[in-house]
Amino acid sequence: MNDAASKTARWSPRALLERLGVIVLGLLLWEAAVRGFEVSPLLVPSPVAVFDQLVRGVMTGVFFKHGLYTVAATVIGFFLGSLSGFLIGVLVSQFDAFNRLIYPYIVAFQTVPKVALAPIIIVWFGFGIGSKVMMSLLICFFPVAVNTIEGLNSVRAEQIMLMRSYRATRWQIFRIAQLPNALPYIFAGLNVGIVLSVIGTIVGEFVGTTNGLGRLLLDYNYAFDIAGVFATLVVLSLIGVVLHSILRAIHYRLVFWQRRPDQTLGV
Amino acid sequence: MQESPELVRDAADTRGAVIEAGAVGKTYRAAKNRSVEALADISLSIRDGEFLSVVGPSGCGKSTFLTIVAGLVPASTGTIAVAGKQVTEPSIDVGIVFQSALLLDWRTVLENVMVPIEVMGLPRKEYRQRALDLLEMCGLSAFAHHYPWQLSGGMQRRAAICRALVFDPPILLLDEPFGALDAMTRDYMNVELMRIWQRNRKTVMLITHSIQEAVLLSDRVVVMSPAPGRILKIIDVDIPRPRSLEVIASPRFGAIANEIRAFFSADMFLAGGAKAQ
Repeated sequence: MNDAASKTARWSPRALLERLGVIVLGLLLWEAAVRGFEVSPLLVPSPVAVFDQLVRGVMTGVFFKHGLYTVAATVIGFFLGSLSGFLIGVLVSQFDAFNRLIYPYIVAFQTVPKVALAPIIIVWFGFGIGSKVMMSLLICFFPVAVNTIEGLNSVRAEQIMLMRSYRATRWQIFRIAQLPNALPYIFAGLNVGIVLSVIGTIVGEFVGTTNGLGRLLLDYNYAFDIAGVFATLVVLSLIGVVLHSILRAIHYRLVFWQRRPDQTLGV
Repeated sequence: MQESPELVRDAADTRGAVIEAGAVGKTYRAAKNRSVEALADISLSIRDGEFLSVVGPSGCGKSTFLTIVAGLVPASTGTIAVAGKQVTEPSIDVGIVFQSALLLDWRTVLENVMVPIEVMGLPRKEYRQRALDLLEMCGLSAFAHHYPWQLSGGMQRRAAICRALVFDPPILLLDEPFGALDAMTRDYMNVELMRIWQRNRKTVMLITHSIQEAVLLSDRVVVMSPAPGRILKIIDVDIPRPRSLEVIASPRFGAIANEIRAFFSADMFLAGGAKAQ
C-alpha cells in the first residue's frame, strides 16, 4: 500500500514535469555558460554540439555497431559471472569443506581491483570479445557470490530446526527455505553486478580492442571531438539504465514478497 | 463437543507415559575447553493426552529440553523416550511451534501449513483438506490464500499451530509460542489453544515464561531452577476443565500461581542475571 502510494507520487505528471524542468534548466545554464564564457569546445562542448554528435552517431550507425558489441560483451559476461558466482556461493554455504578451503581465497581475491587485471586479461584472452566478456564476468562474480552466501546463511536457525523436525533432507531445506530466502540478497548482488559489468567491459575495451563504445570513446578523445565523447557517454548511460531496469523488473516480479528492496550487501 | 472434565482427567491418568525423560542432562562445550551445563538431571514423564507446562527463568535450559525431546539436539547424559522409542532423531510423532511463527514469506498461509506434508511426502490432496479444516478451526479460512506478511501476529501464530497439527502428530511441543504477542492477544490465543487441545487431545508440552499461562492451560506445571536447569517442583493444577479466562480470578488459581511464583525469589533472578553477564 505504501509502495503503491510512493510510486504514484513519483510518477505523477507534476513530479515528472518538475524533474524534466530541472534537466531543461541545467541544459540551458550549461549552454549559456559555454557561450557566455566562450569555453573552448576542446574542453567542454555545448549541449547543442553534443546533441548534434548524438544524432549523427545514431544516423551513421556507429553507436549501434559499437553499442551492440559492448552490450553483448556485458550481458554474456554478466550472465556467466552471475551464474558462477551463484554456484560458488551455493557450494560455499552448503559444504563446509568449500567454506573452509575456498571462501578465504574468495574474500582475499575480492580485494584485488579487478580493473587492474585488464592488461593481463587482454594478454590471455586476446583483442576480441572474449577478453571483454572475461572482464565483465570477473567484476560481477564477487557481489553475486558474496550475496548468495549471505542470503543462504541468513535463514534463522529455528527455521532450519523446524524443517529438520519434519525430517527434511538437506536438499529439501535448501529448496524450500534457504534458496527463496536468499533471492532478495541475490538480486541485490545482481543489481550491483550489472552496473559493474558495464564498467568491466568498458575498461577491457580501453585496454585493447577494435570495437565497442570504449574504443569509440578513445577515438573521439584522440580526435579532440569532445562532443563525440559526451555523446558516447550519453549512450553508455542509457545502456546502463536499460540493463538495470530490466533486472529490476525481473527482481520485483520474482521476489514479490520483498518489501525492502534496498538491502544491498557487499560490492 | 465438550466432555465432562472429570472424565477427561481420569482418562488421561490411566494412559501411559508418552514422553519419558530419565536424568537428562545437557552440557555445551564452550570456548577454551570450558563447558556450560545447561540442564541437569531432568526426570519427568508426561502422560498421554496431558497438557504440561515448563516454567523457569530465562536461560534455565527449558528450550534446550524441548529440542532434546524433539530429537533435534542430543542429550549429554540420561535417556529420553517418546512413544516408547529412544529418541535419536526427529520423529513425525512430534509437532513443534517456536516463539517466532517462522512462516515462509513467499508461500500463502495454506502453502505454509502444507510444508510438513510436502517434506514428509504424504498425499497432498488428502492433507490439503485437513489443512483447510484446521485453518477453519483457527478462524483463518478467509486468509488461506493470503501471505504471512498480510496477517497479524496472532493470526501468524495460529497458522503456525495449524502447520504443527497438519500431519496429526500425537505430541505437540510449544516453545513460548505466544511470547512475542501483546497481553490481550495472548489471552485470546490461550483460550484458542485450550479449545484446540480440547478437540484434538494431543499430549502437549508448553515452555513458557508466563506463570498465568502455565496455570491456565496445564494439568501439571514443572518449575525449573536457573541454569543449570533442574526440576524444583512439579505442581498439579486441580482446576476443573473446561476452563475460561475467568478462572484466573479464582482463589484456587491464585494459590497455585503464588506457589509457583514463590520459587522465583528476587535472589534467584539476581543470581541468574549476574551469571548471564
